[in-house]
Amino acid sequence: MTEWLSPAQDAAMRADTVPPLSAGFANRVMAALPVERESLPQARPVRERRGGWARASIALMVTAGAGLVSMAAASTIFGVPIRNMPVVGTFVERVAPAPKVAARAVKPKPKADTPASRPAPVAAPVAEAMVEPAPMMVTRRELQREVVAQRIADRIDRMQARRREQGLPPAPLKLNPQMRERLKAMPPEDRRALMQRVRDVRRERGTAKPALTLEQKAARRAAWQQMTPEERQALREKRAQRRANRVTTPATSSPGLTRSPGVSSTEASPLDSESSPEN
Amino acid sequence: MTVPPMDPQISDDVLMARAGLRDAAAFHTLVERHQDRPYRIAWRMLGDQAEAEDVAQDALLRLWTMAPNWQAGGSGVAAWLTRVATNLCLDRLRRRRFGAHEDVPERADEAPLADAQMMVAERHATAAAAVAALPDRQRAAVILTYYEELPNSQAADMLDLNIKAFESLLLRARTALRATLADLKEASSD
Repeated sequence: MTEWLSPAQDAAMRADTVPPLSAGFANRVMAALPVERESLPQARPVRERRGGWARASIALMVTAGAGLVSMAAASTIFGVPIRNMPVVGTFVERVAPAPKVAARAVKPKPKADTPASRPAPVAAPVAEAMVEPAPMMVTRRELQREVVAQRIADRIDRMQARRREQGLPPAPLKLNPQMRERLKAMPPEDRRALMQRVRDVRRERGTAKPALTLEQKAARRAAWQQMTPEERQALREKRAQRRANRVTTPATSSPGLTRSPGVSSTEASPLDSESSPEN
Repeated sequence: MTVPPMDPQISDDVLMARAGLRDAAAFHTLVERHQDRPYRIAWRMLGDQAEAEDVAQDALLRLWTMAPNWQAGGSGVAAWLTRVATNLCLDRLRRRRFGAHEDVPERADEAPLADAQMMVAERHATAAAAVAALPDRQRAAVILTYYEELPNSQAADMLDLNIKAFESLLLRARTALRATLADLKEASSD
């Protein structure tokens, strides 16, 4: 087997035997097996004296500070009041609600059509000053108003053109319910401005009835002043009756844009060129 | 910890798979099946029984640790233990050489000192001393090929050598061993 050794050398090498393992070696190995980590209970994390609440509060304060800084910057740059900001304004409103007077002044009020029931603009200047919109927002609102006014004027012109082709007399425009709701939801000043813009657009196009000249107005005023009180009262009642008819039965009323039930008489129809001699 | 051994017919790979699932009985069977070889190698390399048992135990504990990652169908548990035990011995010898500068401890001569056996005992001691006098890696090569009867390729693999380098190492070991044992040859021829 071992050609490189002589038999004597081989015998000497083979005679060098290994002493047997000590008794219980296998059991000692088994006893020395490492304990599995899974069997140990989970060690509780060591908490610092100032625990997670401190870190959380610091993070909260940093976030709130950054929010305040950005809010102030946005308010300064864009001129937007803090209450009008998209997200922050909600929180500000929740923490420090705006006075109710301002909210009531801005909210549109459907009122009866009589001039006597017009709300006195007492709190309006204060409210408008507090919620004065930024120039950018005003511009956007004016753009929207222009688009809506153009659309209403187009519709009126198309309808009147159709009626002329059919040989029918001019009739008031029947607004669809969505448009009527939108007009009702508008603040009174916006609605007034929109109607005025519709009238202007139609006058620019030459499709509206021409406005009264100063002479015509003066003649009407003179005629009004010459009337007896009974005649004036009769004329007022007649006009009130006509307005009531417009509200209840728009289709049968006089030519012009129909007023929605919620629209007060202060917002004149774009076609309503019958200015009162009282004015 | 006393664990009853399992069926000796079960293959090493199956036992290793069970040991990977932390089956102590399976590993106990493996220990009893393979404890001798790492111990033998360590004893011949280190020349000390306690240290040899330490090496064997260390190798077996490493086997337990790596059991969950054991790849079946490889060279086998015995080969793995041989490689680990050899490297552990080389590490210890290296540390011993750079540490306490101790010589290899003399083995206790357990043979009876009867006159009839004095010559044989002397020859055994000479052979053991000749092996112990070899450099570490040459000694490992001789132990693996001569005593453990491993083929050269496998022994080269154990020592992380290519076959050519291992054969060169083994040739140098045999030459040195023959030179040391030349007296025995002459004595036997006389």
